[in-house]
Amino acid sequence: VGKPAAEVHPVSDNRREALLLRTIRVSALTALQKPMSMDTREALRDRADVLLGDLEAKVILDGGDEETLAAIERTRRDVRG
Amino acid sequence: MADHGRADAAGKHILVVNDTEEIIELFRDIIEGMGHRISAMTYASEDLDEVRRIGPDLAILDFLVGGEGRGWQLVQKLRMAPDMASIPIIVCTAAVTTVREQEGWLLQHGVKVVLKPFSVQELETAITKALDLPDLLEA
Repeated sequence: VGKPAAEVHPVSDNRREALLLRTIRVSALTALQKPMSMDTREALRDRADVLLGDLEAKVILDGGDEETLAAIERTRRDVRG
Repeated sequence: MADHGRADAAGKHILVVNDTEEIIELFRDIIEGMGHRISAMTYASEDLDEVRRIGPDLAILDFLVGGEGRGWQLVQKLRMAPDMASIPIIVCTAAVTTVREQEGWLLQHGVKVVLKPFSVQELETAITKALDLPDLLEA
């Protein structure tokens, strides 16, 4: 019963990756909108870079979906301002 | 004493206190994806009676939204209210320096910290651990 794994997993993986990216993006960008010291701001950006790098590596390992990789790069640029 | 439903093996009831709709929707997707229930509250309605009415198994607060002072005040109010002092709390914040300065108090009062930005896994792990330690303050 149900679809073969090959048909099901890419969809669920993409949804999970979309949630992973959205989480980093929203938690970083909403925080950056608030007043904070330069040190805190830089630490936040550095932390976002690490998380985005980890996600990027995972996406590449999973086949390197170009749309997701482009979205990661956009987020990296947005976080860096 | 209020029953926060911690004995239930099924999904827990998690309160998210935040003023940003985008963050609340993100938490909703993550928390409901874990099989838990979410209630959201803004800092504008930080009345403890509202928390009491919701009766959460866990509260997640954002220290930067609404001002750090208000976040701290709510955590302290929750810890001082006898019927809510044992509700596990997770604080999501980018205020690294404040967290370091308050580390002792946070540890003493069983308040877990998730630094922003965070990954889904970090938040899921913090939620799972916080819900596994419901009686931290009573130990």
